[in-house]
Amino acid sequence: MRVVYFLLRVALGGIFLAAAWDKIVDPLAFAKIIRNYQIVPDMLVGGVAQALPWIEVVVGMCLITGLFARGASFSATLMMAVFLSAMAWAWHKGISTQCGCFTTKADDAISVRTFIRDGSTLALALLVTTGSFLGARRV
Amino acid sequence: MTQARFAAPVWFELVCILLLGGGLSVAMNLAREEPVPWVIDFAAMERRDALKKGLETVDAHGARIMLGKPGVVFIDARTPEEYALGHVAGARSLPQEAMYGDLDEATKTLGLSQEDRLMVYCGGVLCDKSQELAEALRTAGFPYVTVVTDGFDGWVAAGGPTEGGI
Repeated sequence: MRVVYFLLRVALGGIFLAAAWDKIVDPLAFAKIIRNYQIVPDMLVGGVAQALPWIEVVVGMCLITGLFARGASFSATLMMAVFLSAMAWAWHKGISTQCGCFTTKADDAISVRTFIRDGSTLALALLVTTGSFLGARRV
Repeated sequence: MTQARFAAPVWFELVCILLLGGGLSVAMNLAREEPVPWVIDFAAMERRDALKKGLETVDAHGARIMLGKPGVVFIDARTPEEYALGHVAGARSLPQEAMYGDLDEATKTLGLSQEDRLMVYCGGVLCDKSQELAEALRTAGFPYVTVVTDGFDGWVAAGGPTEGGI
């Protein structure tokens, strides 16, 4: 079980690191995508666009190294829940926008595919969170 | 697994992650050659983008003055469905997707002349369609192309006359 938990945790960490890269390279493009969702007020979009990818990096690194595993897996779950809700909101409002999940380039519009992808990531994050909290209690 | 021996409370871990992430973003932004502003002026950014592409821009109030002048044609870059639901009075529908097909043919069908001043608009400030189509039109040989920056939403807000829909 421990090995499975370890592998899942590292995989989740990898996903977060991979997702952060494009946004760090081009924060303005990411900011435009966030703005398209029409959730975050314009004033805050710049800050979110810059802080979010780095928080993803920290979460990813923590998950991979196992440091702060509970906090990191919990934040990963929270973030995925927020991302999914944002996507559902945009979908519901009929806003056609880029997902802004893994890339800031214009080839990742919100679709059933992005829902399945983010949904599976949320499931993985939930698994890892459960694992990390159970593991902490056992020791 | 040694990490569990140091059992910090979860909220402490969360705060550390947030602070570390926030701190890193500030530090890395300072390290950029051109630091990205924390509060982005999107209106200015759009104007700059449009200017870079050599496109003229105007807001809906400015565009209203142009309506009905000889040689001025409003182009609706949204989908035909959106166009049917209501559009700028007298505007012609040229969905942005047309730029991926035979744009020459499409403009010919609409009876556009290269002498015309084309006022391209889409849904609102947030859409890119007008800008993309305007760029394609310029490339297709129409020198006088203007993007209406706040689009149809702005037009309605400015009290501009509309046709179709409800």
